[in-house]
Amino acid sequence: MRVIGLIAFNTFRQTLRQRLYYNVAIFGVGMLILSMVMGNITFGYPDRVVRSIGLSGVCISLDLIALLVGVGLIHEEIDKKTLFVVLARPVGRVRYVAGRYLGLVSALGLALFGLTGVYFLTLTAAGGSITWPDVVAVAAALPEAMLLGGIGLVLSAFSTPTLSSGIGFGLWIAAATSDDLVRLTAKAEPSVRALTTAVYYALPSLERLNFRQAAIYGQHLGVWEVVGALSYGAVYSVFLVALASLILSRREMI
Amino acid sequence: MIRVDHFRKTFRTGFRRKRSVAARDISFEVVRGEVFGFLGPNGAGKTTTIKALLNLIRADGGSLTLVGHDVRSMAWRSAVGYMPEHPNFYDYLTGFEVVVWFGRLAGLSRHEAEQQARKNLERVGLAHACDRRLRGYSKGMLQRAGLAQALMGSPQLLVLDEPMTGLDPIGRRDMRDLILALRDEGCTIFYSTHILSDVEMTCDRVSIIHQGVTQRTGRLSEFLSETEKVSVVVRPSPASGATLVERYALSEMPDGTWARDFEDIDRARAFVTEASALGMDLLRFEPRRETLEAIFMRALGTDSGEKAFFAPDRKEARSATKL
Repeated sequence: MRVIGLIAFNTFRQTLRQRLYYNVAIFGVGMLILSMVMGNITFGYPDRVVRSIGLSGVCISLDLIALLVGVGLIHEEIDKKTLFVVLARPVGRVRYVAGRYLGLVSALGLALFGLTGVYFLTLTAAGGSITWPDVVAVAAALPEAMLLGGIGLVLSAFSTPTLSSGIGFGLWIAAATSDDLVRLTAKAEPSVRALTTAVYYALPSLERLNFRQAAIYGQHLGVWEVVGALSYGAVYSVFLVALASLILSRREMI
Repeated sequence: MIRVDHFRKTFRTGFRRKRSVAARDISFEVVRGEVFGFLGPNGAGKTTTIKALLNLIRADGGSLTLVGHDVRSMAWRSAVGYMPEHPNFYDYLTGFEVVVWFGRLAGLSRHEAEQQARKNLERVGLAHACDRRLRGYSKGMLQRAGLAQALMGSPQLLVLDEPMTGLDPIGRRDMRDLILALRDEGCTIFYSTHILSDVEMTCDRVSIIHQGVTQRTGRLSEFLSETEKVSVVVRPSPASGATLVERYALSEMPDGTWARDFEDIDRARAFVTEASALGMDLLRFEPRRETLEAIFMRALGTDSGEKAFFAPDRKEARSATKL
């Protein structure tokens, strides 16, 4: 655990040094300010507009950070050969991958903390009150981003950041819409249905972690429903870290 | 400390998975307490062998052990320090922070790591810049920082990949002095290079590899003494006989003197005795050792050696760059 902690803390510092991290965070804050403006110029339910745009801003920002930082987490270290020196120490590839991932998750947690603060301020300023679904919706943004960070990490273990970003964005869209795709193709030809079902099972379902509609419309959320969704995110993240470790363990450091 | 037996490695590169043989048959052994030079031209397979030793790549054949353990185990890792060819660490950290971090990865406590980091940074001549971020370091300073991190945890064995690359003459001298000092403290040092003058000044034993095959391994002193020659120069006298010139196949030099390099010292002595009897003046009687460069070129199978050393075959050079 000590080694994982050392690598995680270093990765956390490394992520906070990236301009990308701040650019995306500023984008998120911009979305929240936009939500307040839109809420003011919309007739009726200004808090719904703030929630709709604001929560999307928080989630998209966090997902972008997770994916764009995640795709460089391992490749960059192989490219600079820093990884060679790290692996010559009593570290091991699995612990290295776990440390890198935990560092990214810590940086995501910090970004979420800041964005949540701005979101709650914006919501309060727009006359809304902070509800349980609001808290769940922002909290669920972290496991969602962790899943995308995990996908980025897996891609980073065998591909370049540019290629990984392209594949990652594709997977992000597919994972976010796989539930809708299955519903839309329910009456389509069997081959199309088989394809969408395969995509649904092969990719993580981000829809399971989406509590934004519940927050916008003030729907009731059961504790077990939330715990189940968060557990799903956690288990899938562990699977992705294990997959990245397996790929890196088999990879030759050329 | 290191044992490599018939190591083989082939890479498959590019879209067509083209085969590129990096190591065909490499064998050598490094014993405790020595400085071992791993010599070879660019693309010979030096870095590939080092990567296999550190378990960064898998061998296709042969066996590799480090500090008595198979390279695939974790057991050797706290006993070995490694410095890559072009150290490239986290440039947002200071030299001190980087070295402490690697020390902690080596298993040291924070206090121990900080103490050792100060000592090692001073040792490599970076004490003045230890609080500066690495992005402000020159290439030579990064090289020194790389060595400082390799020394963390007081390893029994140091594996250095081209440690002199990028260093100015003073830096190279300091690096050589440090290598010798570490050896005197009982540390075993294995380093790859193609700078032969450094090898002559620091190594106890060397292994020369070329095109992925070990050409020669042995003590440097044996290498250099086995090819001793004697250079003799005499000034002819009026009594000099033509037979003497013919018999000893002397060469006339532009300044009118006669010269010859004898491979056999007894024959050189016999010539000097005869020449003195004929009244010739002995101008030079100089035992000359063949340089390591000449031995290196011979091991590479080329007389001039320039083709193999400076301009390796293009295909091989390309694969070497990839490795």
